[in-house]
Amino acid sequence: MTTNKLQKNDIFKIFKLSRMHPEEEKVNKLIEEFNSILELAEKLNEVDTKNIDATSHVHGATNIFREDKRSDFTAKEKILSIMPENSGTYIKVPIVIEQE
Amino acid sequence: MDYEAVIGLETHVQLNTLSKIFCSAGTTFGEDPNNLIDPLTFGLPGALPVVNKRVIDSAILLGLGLNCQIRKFNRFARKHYFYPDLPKGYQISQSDEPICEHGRVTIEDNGTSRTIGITRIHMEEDAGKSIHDARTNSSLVDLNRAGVPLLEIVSQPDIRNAVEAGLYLKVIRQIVRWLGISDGNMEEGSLRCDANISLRPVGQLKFGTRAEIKNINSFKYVEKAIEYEIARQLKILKEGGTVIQETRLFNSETETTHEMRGKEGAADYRYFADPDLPPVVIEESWIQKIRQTMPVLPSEKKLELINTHKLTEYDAEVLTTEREFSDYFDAVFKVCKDAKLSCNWITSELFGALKKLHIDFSNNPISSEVLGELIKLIKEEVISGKMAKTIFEILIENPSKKIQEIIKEKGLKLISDPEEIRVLVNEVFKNNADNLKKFLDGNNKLHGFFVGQVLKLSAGNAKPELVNQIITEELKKIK
Amino acid sequence: MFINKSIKELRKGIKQKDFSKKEIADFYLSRIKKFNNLNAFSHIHPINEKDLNNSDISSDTLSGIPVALKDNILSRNNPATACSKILDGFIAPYDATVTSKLKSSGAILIGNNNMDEFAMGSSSENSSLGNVLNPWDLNKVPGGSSGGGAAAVAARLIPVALGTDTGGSVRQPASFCGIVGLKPTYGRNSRYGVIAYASSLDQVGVMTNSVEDCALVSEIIAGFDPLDSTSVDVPIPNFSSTLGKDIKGLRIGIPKEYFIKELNTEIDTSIRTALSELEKLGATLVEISLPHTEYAVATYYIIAPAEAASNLSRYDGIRYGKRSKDTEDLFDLYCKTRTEGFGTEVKRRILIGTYVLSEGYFDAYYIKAQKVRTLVANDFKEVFENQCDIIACPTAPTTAFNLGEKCNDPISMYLNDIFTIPTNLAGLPAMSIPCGFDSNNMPIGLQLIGKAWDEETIFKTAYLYEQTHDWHKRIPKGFE
Repeated sequence: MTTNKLQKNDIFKIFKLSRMHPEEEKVNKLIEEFNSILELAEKLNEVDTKNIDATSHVHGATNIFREDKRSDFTAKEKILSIMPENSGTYIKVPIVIEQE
Repeated sequence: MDYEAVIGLETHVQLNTLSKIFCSAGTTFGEDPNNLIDPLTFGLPGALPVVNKRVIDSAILLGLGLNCQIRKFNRFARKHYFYPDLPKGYQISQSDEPICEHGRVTIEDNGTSRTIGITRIHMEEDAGKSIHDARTNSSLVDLNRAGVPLLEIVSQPDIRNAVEAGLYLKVIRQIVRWLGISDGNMEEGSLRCDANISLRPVGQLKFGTRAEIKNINSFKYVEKAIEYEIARQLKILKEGGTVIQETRLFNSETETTHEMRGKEGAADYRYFADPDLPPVVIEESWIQKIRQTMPVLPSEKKLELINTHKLTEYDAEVLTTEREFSDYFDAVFKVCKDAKLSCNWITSELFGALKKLHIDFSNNPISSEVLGELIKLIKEEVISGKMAKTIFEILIENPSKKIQEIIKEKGLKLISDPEEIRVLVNEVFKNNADNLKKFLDGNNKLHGFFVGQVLKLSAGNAKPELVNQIITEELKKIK
Repeated sequence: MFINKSIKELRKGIKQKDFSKKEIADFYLSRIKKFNNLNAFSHIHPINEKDLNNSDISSDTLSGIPVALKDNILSRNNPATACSKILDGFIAPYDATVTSKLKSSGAILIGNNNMDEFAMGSSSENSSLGNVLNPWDLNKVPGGSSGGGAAAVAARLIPVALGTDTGGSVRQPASFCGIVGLKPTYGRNSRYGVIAYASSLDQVGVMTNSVEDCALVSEIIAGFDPLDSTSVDVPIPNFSSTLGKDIKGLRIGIPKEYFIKELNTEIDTSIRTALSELEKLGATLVEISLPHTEYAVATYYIIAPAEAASNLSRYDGIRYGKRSKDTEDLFDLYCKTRTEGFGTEVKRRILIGTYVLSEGYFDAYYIKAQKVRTLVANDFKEVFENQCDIIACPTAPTTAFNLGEKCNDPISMYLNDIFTIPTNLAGLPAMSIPCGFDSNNMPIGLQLIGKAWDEETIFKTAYLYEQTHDWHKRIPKGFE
């Protein structure tokens, strides 16, 4: 891992990937903060992690399952009542350009 | 220059579990929009996934069915993209740790068989569905399907043409139905497929640039889409152009593919192990347990029918298209012990009758015991084949009726005593003196006439072979 | 009249009809109203009178005890917004498992506490509802992210508050406000119905004025939950029954990496005094080393934002919560909703998290951090296997800082979690308890870290230590 100094373009790309609009006047400050956070992160380069497993789950529990049983949620109407825009029980959104 | 196509299929199989992969909401098709929702399906804050064990069992079963290696240490991964029918902003899937790998499946085309490699099978959740209304410039989202379990089967790029692709997909459908893990219904979307297609000069090892075709939702369209895409790429290459790597959509109305709009740049799915779901460890004992529940696969069953039961390749093929056919055959055979008759009665009489009456095989009114018994009576010469058909026709209308009852009511009894038949033959000769004379003068065509007359006189109960034989004997005597 | 009454005393009073449940609730509700300048609450729940108009107390329950929930813990039919604009108007259609456990033990859910938006922060200044004040000094922060709950418990606006702790969010505000706060072992409590920040680190924790109250509530909310597959099916110990047991021969590890130059000297002195008290109680002090401590903050600020960026993807304006008006198309709807809905710190962490998960950086940052996480956890494993039974150290390197002091310096804010983060990375239980005041009369917290699933030793030790002083009984000036 080399020191990755982030540029404006990189930030814009991350904004887009995160589905947020960059606020032009704040971008320079953000880049600065971002780079200092990454600098902090790069401290980890000092640590030798050869042959060390990555921890994705902190306790060793495995195989927690549920049986294949259906049970209907009792407050469906409550969920449907909080949709910001709807058409009947459908959620309404601006048209999706193309179905993937 | 000659080109060959290199095709790989990604097949999504929807599992037939009662509840979703990570929550207990139902999975039934055709419900009212957003009726199968709960906190997780709706992506509510605080909702957490818990794995449906049957999904793991099904994945292991399919892995064994497609000769895969089963991974011991499995994790689910989050695949991120924003889409209205993806309620959490990520799909829970598997990335570089799929549950099954390194499998293969055999397809057969007019007697030649080819092996298609299976790269991987992984578990994931389905997305919801949207309907688009250009008039109001809006889309309507239904999350009923969101969270329904899927197995994605990725083939090696071993497929070479549209026909093979169709055959491959049919085998996959046959196996998932055979194993009982999915209904494989393409119309309802429980079987869907994307195709990766590229062309390369014959003899070249390196793959050409591929296009991914999405939205293929019927067997017919798989072949159409691939044929169109091969032709499209061939035209580009012949004109000296280059194929670009892209995702294309198949349009079933025009039967063409087109570039997908609204897709900006290469996707970056940012996969990482889902911290909400502890790892799934599959020990050998679990695999063994599943293996014990696994039925004989259709390809093996077919060989068994040909080799052990001496059925024709065609008959064996028909009986193994569905596991219920094959199971039914086994059960009928167990009663009557005659493979050929069992096969004929199932594939012609039974299938024919069901088709005529628009009855699905799953609602077949004739139990395997009854059909087996009927065939047994033919074999034991208690009834004739013709009588059996009469009985069968009555049974299919009145499945609760007993065979013996019908025999009694209709007075169906095979006459197989030669002396009894000899009396009938002589009576017919006596009543048809003219024809007998012509016959004796050498008109051999009249043999059939006499057989018919004897059968008629016996009300159809005389055993035809015996009638034949005795007529010949009696004629010899007269001569 | 109810101030500094323990849960047990309140229960006894209800039973003997010295006072009623309604009187208790009204007392606290009036204090919440009176001291709303602290901005410690985000929402007051409507209370079912039926729950108050009875003196029924089945033993071992919280019958009639007022409890507040952090605004990221769902309770059915009440708002839960994690103090984010993006969840404006969101009414929870279901109860978190910890909420239903409190309800069935008879607790009276009074309201939700203000917090840092989505639990991201160490000062409770990142809230859509404005910052929370520290009752010990209204110019200082209460710590965060469970600052509303900590301030409310310290100011005696509520006897019990549930918080969440991802990198210290229960313990650091407990330390800043002079109260008791426990983060249990990861997997001890269900996270179902708790708005996720970083799933592999988040745990619900209890904040109270005394160790005994903390034990009583902690044992009620603990336990395996079939709806949370990261909760673990281990027996739920009876925490309160360990209180009063002696600690003779207990080996207390003192990690040298926690006594660094950044540590405020007054805190250093207080902690050392507390350690000698523990020694007097029969414990042995052992110097230990946790060599990867200095990498914990960097590790945390990769893992937590990555998980957060993912967890917060669902706030998209499509199905619930805020949806921005006047958007051009679907893409703009997503972006505008999220840009307007999230605050600065949340956006910052989403961006960092998205970056470290993105193609080309994933292994270098995220996987690297997960590997260092293993080493941080191994440090603890080793000392617990060979050298000590419990670890004692400061909860935070400073006492409460001034409002606004660190707002423009995220790194210095992040470093305030330096002593609390390692236990989240290792999934271990840890508690902050009051151990004195600095010269500005701001509380200091002692942190006790236990082995996995061994909250009992923490409770036992904390309780005995608590009996040696009266810091936990002190009430901030103006709130008597």
